[in-house]
Amino acid sequence: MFIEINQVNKTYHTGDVVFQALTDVDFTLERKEIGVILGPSGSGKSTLLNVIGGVDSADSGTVKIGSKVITGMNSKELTLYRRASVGFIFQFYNLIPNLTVEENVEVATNISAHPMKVDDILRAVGLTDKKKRFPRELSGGQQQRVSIARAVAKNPELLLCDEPTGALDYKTSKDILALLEKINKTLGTTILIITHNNAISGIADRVVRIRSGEITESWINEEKIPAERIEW
Amino acid sequence: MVLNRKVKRTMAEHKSQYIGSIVLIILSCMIFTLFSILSANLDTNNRDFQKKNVQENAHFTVQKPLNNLESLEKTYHMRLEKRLSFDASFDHDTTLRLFSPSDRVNKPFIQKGHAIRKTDEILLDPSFAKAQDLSVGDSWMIGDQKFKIAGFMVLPDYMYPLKSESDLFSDSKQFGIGVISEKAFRQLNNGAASYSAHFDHNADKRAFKRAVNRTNRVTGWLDSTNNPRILFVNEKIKSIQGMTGSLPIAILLLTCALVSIVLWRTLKTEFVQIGTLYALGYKRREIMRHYLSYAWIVSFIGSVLGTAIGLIAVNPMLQFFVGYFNVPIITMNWNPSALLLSILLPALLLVPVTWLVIHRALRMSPLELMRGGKKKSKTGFLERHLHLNGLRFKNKFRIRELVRNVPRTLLMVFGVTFASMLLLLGFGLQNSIQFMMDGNRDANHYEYNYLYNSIKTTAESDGEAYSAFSFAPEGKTKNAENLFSVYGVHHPSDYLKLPDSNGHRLSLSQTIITRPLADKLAVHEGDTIKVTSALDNKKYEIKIDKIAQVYTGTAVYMPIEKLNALLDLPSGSHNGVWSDKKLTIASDQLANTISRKDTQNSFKAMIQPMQASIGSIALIAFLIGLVIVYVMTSLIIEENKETISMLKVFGYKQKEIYSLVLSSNTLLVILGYALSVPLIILSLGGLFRSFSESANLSFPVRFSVWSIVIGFVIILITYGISRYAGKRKISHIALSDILKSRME
Ligand SMILES: Nc1ncnc2c1ncn2[C@@H]1O[C@H](COP(=O)(O)OP(=O)(O)O)[C@@H](O)[C@H]1O
Ligand SMILES: [Mg+2]
Repeated sequence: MFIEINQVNKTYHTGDVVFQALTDVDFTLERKEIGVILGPSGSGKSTLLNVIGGVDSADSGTVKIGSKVITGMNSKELTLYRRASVGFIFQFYNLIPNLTVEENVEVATNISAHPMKVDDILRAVGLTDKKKRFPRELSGGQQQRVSIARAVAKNPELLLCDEPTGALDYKTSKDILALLEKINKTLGTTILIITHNNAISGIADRVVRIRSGEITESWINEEKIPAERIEW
Repeated sequence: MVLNRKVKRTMAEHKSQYIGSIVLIILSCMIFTLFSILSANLDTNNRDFQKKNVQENAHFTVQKPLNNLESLEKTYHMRLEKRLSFDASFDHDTTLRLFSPSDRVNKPFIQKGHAIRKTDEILLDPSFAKAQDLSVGDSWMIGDQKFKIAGFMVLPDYMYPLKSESDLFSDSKQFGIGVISEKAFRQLNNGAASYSAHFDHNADKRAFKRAVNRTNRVTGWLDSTNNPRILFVNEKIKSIQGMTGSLPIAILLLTCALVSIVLWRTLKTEFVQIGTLYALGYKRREIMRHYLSYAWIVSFIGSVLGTAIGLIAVNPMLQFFVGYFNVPIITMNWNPSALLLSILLPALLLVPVTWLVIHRALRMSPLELMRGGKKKSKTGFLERHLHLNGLRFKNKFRIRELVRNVPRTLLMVFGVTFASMLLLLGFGLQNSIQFMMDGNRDANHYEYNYLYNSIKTTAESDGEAYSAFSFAPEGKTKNAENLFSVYGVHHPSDYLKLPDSNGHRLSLSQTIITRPLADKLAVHEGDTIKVTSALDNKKYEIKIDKIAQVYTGTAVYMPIEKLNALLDLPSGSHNGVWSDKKLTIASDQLANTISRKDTQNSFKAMIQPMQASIGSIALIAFLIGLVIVYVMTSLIIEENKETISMLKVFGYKQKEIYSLVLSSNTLLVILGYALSVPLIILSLGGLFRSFSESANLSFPVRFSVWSIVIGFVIILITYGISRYAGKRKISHIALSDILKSRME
């Protein structure tokens, strides 16, 4: 297994209030697979993804990615892990506003040992003609493409997508999913997508459902369908 | 690194803060550089000049000429030179004192032109030449001889060209000095001879004096430590150094502190980006390096430009200032340590502050940062205990905004306070000097003041008789700087009116001390001071009844009969006369004549160096103040950008929004200004005290109501303009962009 998550717990402390965001979560994903985590808003999906991506830490349990156990890493080691292995796609894109599309992608290639060519990625995400634009001059879908380009540019083993289509319309969402699918096929990148949209689980190899921080269901998807054909 | 490309764009985006900060640093580094070099040059050149041109340690007159100068020099380890002088009249009330050339002691420093080569050439004191509108090459007649100005020079024993050693102030309009050749001297007048002496370290001054007295007689002797022509220059430089030293460094430090805060708050808006970079796998070091570049850029562009401009301005400023200080600039002192400080200091403050801000940011997790930094989980104490139920929404909103962001509120208030203080500096200076001049006029009401050269016992002329004798505090050497006058005056007097601290006229039947002397001797009403007479070295005790609130002059006034009794003088004794018209008194009876106009002119001349130096600092401080208000206002408006745009999205009208969000800031501006008034009065008081200590003045801090009103109007206008600019910038941003930028 490429991703192996064992009995992960996570609590948040807000003032005197303690909130259990993840309870005894188990989850696995093979290399080169697409995984989908389903669940309603507030169920703990982002928390789980962030623990996997090394931007948040678990209270107990283990998270193993490839050969690395990231639970227990200090912040320096986590930075190196993110730098080498993880590509993030955020729901709100998180682009650097004062850098152009091209430069935003360079932000990632800059710190990567084996980066892809910026022009190639921009062509792949269909933004070649927008490369000198600033993020605020792009639509939401285009900004999400930049964010994908930035995540993929490092050529990471693992691509983590937090509601990548959450802020997008139907048509644009499907385009983005197709793009992720293409990346998975051509580069062999392991992709983990979280969403509250059940239909999206159609493109996944493995799916888990999460509710109030607990895994309630988990299955292997035998009938994968291409992104263009999913409907909701 | 690709990230560096964003630096320029981010700075352009927050122009007001970054460019404003750079301008602030430029201005403060400029005055710091300018005044450090200026005061270093006054000081070192003064010392160099005194040493290189062999300033005398004493000068003296003898009954018959000394003719064994060389052997005396050898025996007593000294340099000795005879010099002739006489007073020529330049025009009807202007005296030009001419000297024979000196080349062993008190060597003239040629500032412009060349030394005397011909009999018809003359060297002039430059301030006299300026006052009389003479330049090198000009010529005019002295007696029946024509003289051509060969150059301008400064004589080490006449740096401050006082006509008489008892004069307080020099006035180049009425007195100046010149040097002519020995030959010309003999043709014009034989002049009076005096001897200038410079002693080596191992010299025995008293042995020399005794030796001269054995065969001859010393008829007059003045040590340089008692020579006001030398002392005043040192004192003027000392007093100005205190102020020009502390003021620019204080301005520079405070400006840098303010800029660090601006930078800190501006960088705080980047937390989401810092978090994103961190999540993408950027190392702390890499993120730190990127954000530190903001600090480096702001501080170095500012400090290098500011220091450079300061350097360029040094020469013209120096030319302007040397005239006030009577110090010739022999070699330029570039004060490299001050230059280095000027270049490094802004970075020394800004870089660590930025480091701290980013370091603290990076202690948060990437997640927290992407959410905009750790929000306070608890509501603030103030916020929780604020009960606003009865208020209208508008007021509730305003108060909540102020309370929610206490640091921002404080920053705005203190920013405006600091800016207002800088702004008011010049006003305070001008008002205070004006007040002091008026105050001086109020105390002395004579037009002419005649001081006899001997004590009279019967009234010999019209006017009001008085006595004045010199004393030193017991135990102090009778140096010029310790001596003060005790006056015996008639009560009531027509010519002397002394006010108490409430402005009421004090009765002259009491013993009254002036405020500057009271401060200097630390005496209070009812104290008794012990003094030694400069005349006969006898000791006396004087009980002080009252302190007069006058700002110039170190003196004690008591009824003339009481003074006569104290000094054991016959009743009716006096040695001076005050009058409101010119009196005819034979000049051989007089030691000194001073008209009130002379006093006032001379007083102005005394104040000028201070007025000029603090005045020019005040001018730049004024500009700095304006820029600070601008930077602060745009920072606050930008920090409110989100609230403003959200209200806009809700459908609030522009006018409603600004009245909600920005009008509370107007209140803060008023508060900030109100705080600045007592603070500037306090700080100016401290500043003036450092001046008065050496200048025998007590400098009151006065602000006219008008200055305070004008200062306030200027601050309000600046605030209004900055607000207008900020508003325009915000209304130019499309709403959709703002919604997007919330997500970035
Ligand atoms: N930093 C935090 N502090 C406190 N509670 C948090 C924090 N982050 C998330 N939570 C809580 O944890 C729960 C799960 O959050 P999240 O994982 O973001 O849900 P999802 O992504 O599924 O919508 C939510 O109820 C949320 O309120
Ligand atoms: Mg989420």
